[in-house]
Amino acid sequence: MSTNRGRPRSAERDLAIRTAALELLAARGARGLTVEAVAARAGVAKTTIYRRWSGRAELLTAAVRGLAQPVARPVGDDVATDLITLVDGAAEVLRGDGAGLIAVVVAEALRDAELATVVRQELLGPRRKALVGVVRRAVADGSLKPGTQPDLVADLLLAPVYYRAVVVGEDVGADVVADLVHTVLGDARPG
Amino acid sequence: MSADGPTAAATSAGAVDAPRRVGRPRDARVDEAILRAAFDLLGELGIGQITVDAVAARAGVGKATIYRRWPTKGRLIVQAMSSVGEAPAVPDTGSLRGDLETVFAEFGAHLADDHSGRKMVDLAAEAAQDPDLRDLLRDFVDGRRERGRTILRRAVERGELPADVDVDLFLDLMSGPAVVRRFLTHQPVTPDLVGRTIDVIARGFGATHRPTDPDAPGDGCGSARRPA
Repeated sequence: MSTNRGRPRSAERDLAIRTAALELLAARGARGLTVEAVAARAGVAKTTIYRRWSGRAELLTAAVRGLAQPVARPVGDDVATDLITLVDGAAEVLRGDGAGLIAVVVAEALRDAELATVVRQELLGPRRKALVGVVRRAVADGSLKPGTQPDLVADLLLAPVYYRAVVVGEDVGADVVADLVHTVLGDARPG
Repeated sequence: MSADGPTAAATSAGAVDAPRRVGRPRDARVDEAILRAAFDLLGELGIGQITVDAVAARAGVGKATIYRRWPTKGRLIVQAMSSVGEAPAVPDTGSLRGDLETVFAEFGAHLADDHSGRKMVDLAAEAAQDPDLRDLLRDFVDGRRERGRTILRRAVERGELPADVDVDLFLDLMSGPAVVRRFLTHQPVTPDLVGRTIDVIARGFGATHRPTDPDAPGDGCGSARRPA
């Protein structure tokens, strides 16, 4: 593969292994994720996996890290539009099989403190931080009322999306995201 | 009490007094006995300790009889949770805020129960690979939301909420933060958080404030949070 010359082969292999791990998690749940099964699916030897990660737990954490999506940079023209874009990004990850995969990851994270930290800081953290930033700026420029609580607003925007997708078991469509943002902002708009 | 209808039959001792259902296979009684046994054992042992063996012994049937009907323990448990037992009482404090605070105090205590909380998350994870379990869980969650729907309907009738309130969105906004804090971000669900959540949501949905106690000086939505 001469076209990939600039890219180290090991990075590709890393990605193939992590992808195989996520596919196994989605298809077979936590019990389906074994180093053996990942090796077979990725077409590598088990030793190749053990050279990179100490075992199943480290591999799982690395794979979950890879689920983190880049957070869209807010445009800044309109607070609602920015929030809708950010919240829809969270909903997008959960559409299709995404919610099931997250359910499996969350269940595992209840038994694995390091994985829980990755979920909180790397999967949820950046988007939440971006939401808080948008709300803070909107309060500063007067688009939202002083006294609006950016952290609370961010939680109220993200939590229902995760709850509806993972617990209620329904896709969160773009219309729901827009309703959610406008409802939560209803309290924060200057009267 | 609307809750009496479906649950009265389920709670009557056994199915002895139930009207004979002509033409219906005897199996329905076995189903009922198994679900009742599973439900009772859930209460006694907890969701983490319950076994199909114990349910079979309590119901007086063989394990195979159970597995023919519910191929996994998860499906049996979820169906027992949603089809047996009393529906939780719907608070009727006279105000939206009072009702929501009551429900969320209970919900918070329920979430704080570490063992059952973990098992519910496990079931949700298991459901990702088991569409039948997914459907059963969805029915269960939907049943639990009935209480919230009743509360919101009463609030609309009292004129506290606009008639076109998006009930599902309202309930997602109430339940979501508590569930996410408990299981995803591992932060406590405090009464203060519940109070602030109710404030934002109620106003976001255009709720008009009614003090819980009509004699208390109503100073806005925050008043009901403070101890009297």
